[in-house]
Amino acid sequence: MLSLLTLSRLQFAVTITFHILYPAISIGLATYLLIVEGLWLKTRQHRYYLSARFFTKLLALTFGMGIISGLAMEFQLGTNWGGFSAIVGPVLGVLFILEALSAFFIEATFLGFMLFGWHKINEKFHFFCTFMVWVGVSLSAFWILAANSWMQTPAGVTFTRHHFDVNNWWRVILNPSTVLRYSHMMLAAYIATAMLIAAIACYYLKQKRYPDLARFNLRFALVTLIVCLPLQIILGDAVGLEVHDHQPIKTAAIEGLWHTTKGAPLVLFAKINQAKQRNEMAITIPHLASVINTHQWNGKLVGLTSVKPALQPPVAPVFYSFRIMVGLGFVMLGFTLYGLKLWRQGRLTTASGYHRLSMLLAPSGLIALITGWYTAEIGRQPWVVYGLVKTSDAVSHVTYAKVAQGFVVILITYGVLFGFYFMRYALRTITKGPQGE
Amino acid sequence: MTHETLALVWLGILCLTLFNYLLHDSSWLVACAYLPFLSKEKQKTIVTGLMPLWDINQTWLVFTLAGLYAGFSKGFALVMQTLYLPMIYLFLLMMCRGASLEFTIKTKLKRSWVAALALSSAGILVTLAIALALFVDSLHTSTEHSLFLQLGYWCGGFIVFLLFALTRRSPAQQTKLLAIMTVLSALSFLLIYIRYFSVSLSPVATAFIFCTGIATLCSNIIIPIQKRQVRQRLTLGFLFACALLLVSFSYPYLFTAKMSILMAASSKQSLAVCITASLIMLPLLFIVNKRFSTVYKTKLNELS
Repeated sequence: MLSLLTLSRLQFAVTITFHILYPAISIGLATYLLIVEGLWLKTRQHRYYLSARFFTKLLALTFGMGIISGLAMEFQLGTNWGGFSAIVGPVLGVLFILEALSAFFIEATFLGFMLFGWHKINEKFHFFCTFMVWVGVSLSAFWILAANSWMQTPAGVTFTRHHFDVNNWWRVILNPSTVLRYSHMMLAAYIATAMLIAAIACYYLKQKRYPDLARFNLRFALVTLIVCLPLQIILGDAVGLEVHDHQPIKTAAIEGLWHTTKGAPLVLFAKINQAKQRNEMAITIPHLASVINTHQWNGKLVGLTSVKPALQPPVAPVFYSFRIMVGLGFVMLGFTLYGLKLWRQGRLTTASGYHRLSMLLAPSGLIALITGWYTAEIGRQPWVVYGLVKTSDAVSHVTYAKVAQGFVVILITYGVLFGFYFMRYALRTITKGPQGE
Repeated sequence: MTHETLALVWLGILCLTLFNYLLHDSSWLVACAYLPFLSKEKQKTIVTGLMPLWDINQTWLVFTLAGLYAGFSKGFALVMQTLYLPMIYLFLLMMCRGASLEFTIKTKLKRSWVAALALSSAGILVTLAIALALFVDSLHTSTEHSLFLQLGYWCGGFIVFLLFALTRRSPAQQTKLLAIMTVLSALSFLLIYIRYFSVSLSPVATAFIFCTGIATLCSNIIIPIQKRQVRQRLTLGFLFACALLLVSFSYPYLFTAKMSILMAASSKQSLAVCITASLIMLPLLFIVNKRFSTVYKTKLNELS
């Protein structure tokens, strides 16, 4: 039987996996809408207007889902993670208050105008509302990433007897990993949304509907991807260096490295055997892990066995999640380069095989984003605040039966609401297209 | 300022934001619960009226929860663990309501989604009442729980009042309802008084106190619209008095019977940052929110 801790972690994992998708799409769509509406105001071309109206519908859907699934997590911090709240609340709670005051109210105030104000308010004011929603979602992501980064690389506090005293709020907010992880997350959101936009455009091209709108959106997505993907690779490398500096055991789990090694090999694939503390059937490239994580040929990487097994994260999920994320990143890059080649040859709008591929790869950005998040969060275990507070001290003291009951009802509700109805209405909206606009 | 003063100031701010949430969302909750009994035209008016405001209403709740988390982290943890299941059901119902609202609009008032919206809204009201009753009960140590008393929570005042109100449609009947609510409100004061001077009062009474309060507030939507503002102020005054009375009798043990406000409070630095940021931003937000609620009033006038 699962332990109370594992059950609580699973419950939170389910809620955050569903939740993270919606803000990511909302961030991407808000940015897209800002650009498209700006283009429409400047050029007055109907395709921009049509795109803005259509994707506003999808934003309304994802934004609403993001709010309700986020609200659930706020409750869960108290119900399932009482220990965490009691110890960390005075630090992270302040960031959540700042998020609510600076981001949520901006979003909430201007979103209503943005969604329902078409043709009812001045066009320039509507554009201003779209801009403010973009500011709101970007700020919101910043505060959440600042809070999560502080859990990865705590700074600006002293910790004594299960109690945090804040010495410097700026260092709490701008801790060593905030800026890098925030940029990494924003780019991931842009990439994931661009993949979705490309897939929607390809769907219309295949159906021979809205050709003008589809052509523009596919090109827009490809430009976004060719700008963001290389940037993401550079940023990912910087994040890797930062993780190696502050969380060497997480790096070891990502690399599947058991013993401290100079010039460590990159394990492309292996069967992880944590019980025996070794890899089986490993395919490796000499020195490459050291080169990636330290930028030195013979750089030293700390191995997992340098700490007791109880202080090691679950290695297999971290190892495989990371490889899925990176693998999908390169698949998306290949897809983009191929698309640009077709564009250059003038075959982008007629290549039906490419359109099918795009539709197949529609969720790849979101899967990469989720697996990246798993790598970061599972890799931090067994700590909830790295090196200071253990996850086992963070869990609530409630009965197993209550948590199990909560888990079952959450699974059912999330499955029905997000897994079935959201997908159904999102797909229906896409299938219907921007009709009548 | 002393640590205790800072904690009290922050608690006051959170009470204000919670009241703002109750003020803006409770009427909508009852309006949504009432939805299947209305004509398509009125359903449309309510749903399209609520949609642009729903987000900002939830934000007040998010702020209150985040405020408790930041300023009273130990208290927040204890209370949420004590109320584990009601809280889990509350957030799930809130999610169902949010999703139902979106899908009700998307499907142009499909009957099944209207029913889902109504059920989830009624469910939230009932769960809120239960959670409040359980919370107040946790402030008292000498309460005995029997099966009958547990049933009392579930079938408590709110459901009775809500169902009663829903069956009354004509203005004359609604006026009668108002009179009954007023008498019950007065009775609630008496019950609070007795409860905190006599330990023998049952939790059912507590449930009734809060259920009556919420039902009175919610009845604003059902009774004739023209005098709505006056009643809303009176009701808010009543609820505020209830809260004050509760605080004064329980003080300093405001987070269950064993945890005082100081034990629950976060450090002075955290409270100071929260209060400073809120004092700068909240007045602005209250003004904006007030401005936005005019949309709501317009919709209500359309209804009448």
